[in-house]
Parts: sequence; structure tokens; C-alpha cells
Amino acid sequence: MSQNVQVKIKISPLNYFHRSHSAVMTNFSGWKLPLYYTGIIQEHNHVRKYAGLFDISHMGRIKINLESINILERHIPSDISGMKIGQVRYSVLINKVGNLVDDLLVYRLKESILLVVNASRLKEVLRNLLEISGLLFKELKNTAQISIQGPKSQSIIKKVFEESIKLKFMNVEEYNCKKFKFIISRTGYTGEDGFEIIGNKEGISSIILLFLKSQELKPIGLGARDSLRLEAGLCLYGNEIAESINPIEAKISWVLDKKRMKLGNFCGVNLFKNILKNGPKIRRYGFIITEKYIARNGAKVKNESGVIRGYISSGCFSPTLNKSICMGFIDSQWDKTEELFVKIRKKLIKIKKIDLPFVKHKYHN
Amino acid sequence: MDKKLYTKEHEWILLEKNNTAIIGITNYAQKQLGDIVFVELPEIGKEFSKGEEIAVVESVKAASEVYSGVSGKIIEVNKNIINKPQVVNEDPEDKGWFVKIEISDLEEIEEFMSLKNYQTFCSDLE
Repeated sequence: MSQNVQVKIKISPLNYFHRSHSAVMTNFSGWKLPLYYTGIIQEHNHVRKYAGLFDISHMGRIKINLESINILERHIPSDISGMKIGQVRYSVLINKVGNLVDDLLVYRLKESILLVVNASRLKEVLRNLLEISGLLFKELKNTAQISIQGPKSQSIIKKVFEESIKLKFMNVEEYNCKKFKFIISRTGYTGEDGFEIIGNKEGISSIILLFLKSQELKPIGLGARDSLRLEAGLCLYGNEIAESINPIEAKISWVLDKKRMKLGNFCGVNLFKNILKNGPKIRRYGFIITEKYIARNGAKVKNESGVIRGYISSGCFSPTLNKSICMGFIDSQWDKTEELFVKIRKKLIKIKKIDLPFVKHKYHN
Repeated sequence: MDKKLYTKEHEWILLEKNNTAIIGITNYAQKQLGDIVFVELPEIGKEFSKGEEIAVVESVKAASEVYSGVSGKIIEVNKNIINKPQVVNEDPEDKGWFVKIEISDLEEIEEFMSLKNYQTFCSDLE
């Protein structure tokens, strides 16, 4: 036998499920995950109309000791210590010099804080957390996580959990079901009503079977996960947010808590104050393309005279709008009346600004 | 020699009479791409060298180039897949063909794989 010198590809605890559902697999941030089961567009439309089940076990889950909350807050610009038990907040993790390490969800649980971070950034997040002196944290390695998204999610969840789930959007609670413990939040990455559920492998495996008794629920791969989040105008780390892109440019400046900005008690606060004062150099916008072209990450955006005005951060075909859509960062000097073009395979293709999100959010309030 | 051959870039080439051949993408390729939404085809009469990009397929997830495994001239394109790109997903190795080419150097074909070798090549990728 030859020795395995390759970097080991990580396998989801729910890999057996993907195999048994004949998923077409893909590599994603070092993980082997389902790209799709039956087809990206079909799965995408199913989530918008009914509900979809996503394996998101690859995401990082990190438990933070409540005693460390003030230390953690120095690296997260939202009001974390002011969160009530059961609240979830979307925010960013900032390093010492004010760069964005990742975007994340912060769960305020009864006895701890839970961070849910991107698979692609987990290593970097853990490395940064280790550097913060006095921070008590632990990666929850032996857990699995699924997401149920779509207008039918609530009725599907109701059938399985005897306790009635009365969560509001961006809230979390711990539940018991079939002798297993679960952390359920009303959160998601599709713009639809939906839930994200954390549990151990056995627990998640057993409830998946119960959930799938609903004919309205279908497994969904990463292909549709990306097209759904893009239609919802949501950021993807590495594309719309990165170490070099700040929250103001990405138009998520609401993660910078106003009171805390005044108090100045987090890393990079002066940097962000300056950007707010002077205005960002670039801003995130949504665009549609009427021609049969899709602008992908990195494509240059120019004006009619060929002057570079920005670049595309993400683009895909929108199954809901039946059009090519993209997001990109454009020079703040752009006056919105100047026509813009994206360079695709040596051709300049016209793009038209459209308000984000491309597809209206339908969160449960 | 087999009439239908395969490349490492997941294209198939079907040899026909008079040094002509039909080129398309394999079932493995369409599966990896997922739903194809746009197809860009070359103009008839255009000449290509071996390894040059002859077409582009856009799936929901990514753009992918189709290369010409052989040098030659485009003599026909499958216009049907421009209006109905899903045909490439449904029937990639027949109705979903891309272009018909007049081969200028038949020797270039020798390095292509037979179906059996291509299947082994694909299973090694898994």
C-alpha cells in the first residue's frame, strides 16, 4: 500500500446520507460535500416553493465560555454582552489590526456563547482565537448541523418536535427530541423562513429520517445553497467579505454597534470610524445581465471608455428570476447613471444595477 | 480504431467520413457541471488548433471551456443547444453535441482514449 501523502479530505458525518441519495459530490474547502442530488435548478426551486434539507456539518462550531464574553467582544463589533438568552446575531470576527477574519453567527445560549463560522475559515478563526489571551473556547468537533429552509419549514419541524417551536427569526433554543439534545435556531442562508439544527451525529441522523417523511422536504446540495444565498443578496466570505473588504464596503455596517463605536472598545474601531467619516472607496451592488452571459468572481467592471470601475464578487444564473445575476464592488465615485460593463471572455457585456436582494426575503417575524 | 474517442478534458469525438468529426462533452462532464444554462458556440468556418477553446458552457455554478482536441475548421454547430441548453444535460453524447469539425491532422487523434480507458480515467478521479 502506498502511503497517503495527500491532504486528507474531510467527510461529513452525514456522508452516508449523501451516498444513499446518489449525490454528485464536490470538493469544498477541504470537504467532500454534495453539489446536488437531482439538479441544482430543481433543488433551488424546491426550496423557494416548499422546503430543502442541507447538510451544513462542515461549518465550524465553537463554544465560548460566558466568562470570556468581554474578551470576545473586543473582536466582534456587535453588542454581544447585551444579547438576551436565545438571541442570535450575525456579525464578523475582527483581528488585532481590524481585518475581517470571518463572518459568523453568534448564539447566546443559557450557559455559553456559540459561534458558527465558515468551513473555509475555521482554521484561521481558531488560530486567531488562540492568540486572544484569556479567551476560553472549545471547538465542538463531534457535532453535525443541518438546515431546513423554505416556506414549508415550520410545518415540517412541527411534525417532528412534539414541543411546539415558537422561535422568532434570529432566535435560538435548546430542545429535546427522541432522547437527543438539539440547538435549533430560526436562521438560514437562503432568504426564506428556516431553521438550523445542531446535534450529535446520532441525533441529527435520527431526525433527518423523521423530517424526510414529509414529501415536501428534499435534500439540497451546495450548488443551490450558493444560488439561493446569491438571490438573497447575502455575503459569502472570500467573495463579498474578506480581510481586505470592510463591513462598510460590503454594506453590512449594521454589524458595527453604534454605542460600541462611540465607546471605541473593539479592535479596528478607529479604522471603521475613519471609513464612515470619509466614505468607503468601494461599495457592494447587485446587477442583472440581460444577455446570455454570467459574470463570475473576479471579472472586471468597466465604463464605456474602458476605465475600470470595479469587479464582480459573485455571479450565477438566478432560477427564480430566470436571469443572470451578480454582485460586485464599484468605485464610490460611480454616479449610478454611468453605464457599466463586465468583461467576460474578451467581450464587454452591459450590466444593470438592481436593488438587493434580488429575491425578497421571507423571514418569519 | 474506435470511432468514438474521449479526451482528458471530458470531451468526446465521433469520427465520421471524409475527415470530419462531431465534438461534444461527456456524461461525466455534464454531471460535474450541473444544470447548463447558456452555451456559447463558435462561428461556422472558424479554424482552430488543437487544444484551443471552441465553446463555453455556463452552468449555474461555473463557466467551463470546451476545447478542440484536434486542429480543424468548424463546419456545423448545434444551434438547438443555444436555445435549449438543458439538452446537453439530458443527452450529452447524442442530441447535445456541440460542433462538427473538418479535421486537418488525423494523427492528433491517436492520443485519445477509448471508452474503456476513459471510464477507468473517470473512476480514478472519484
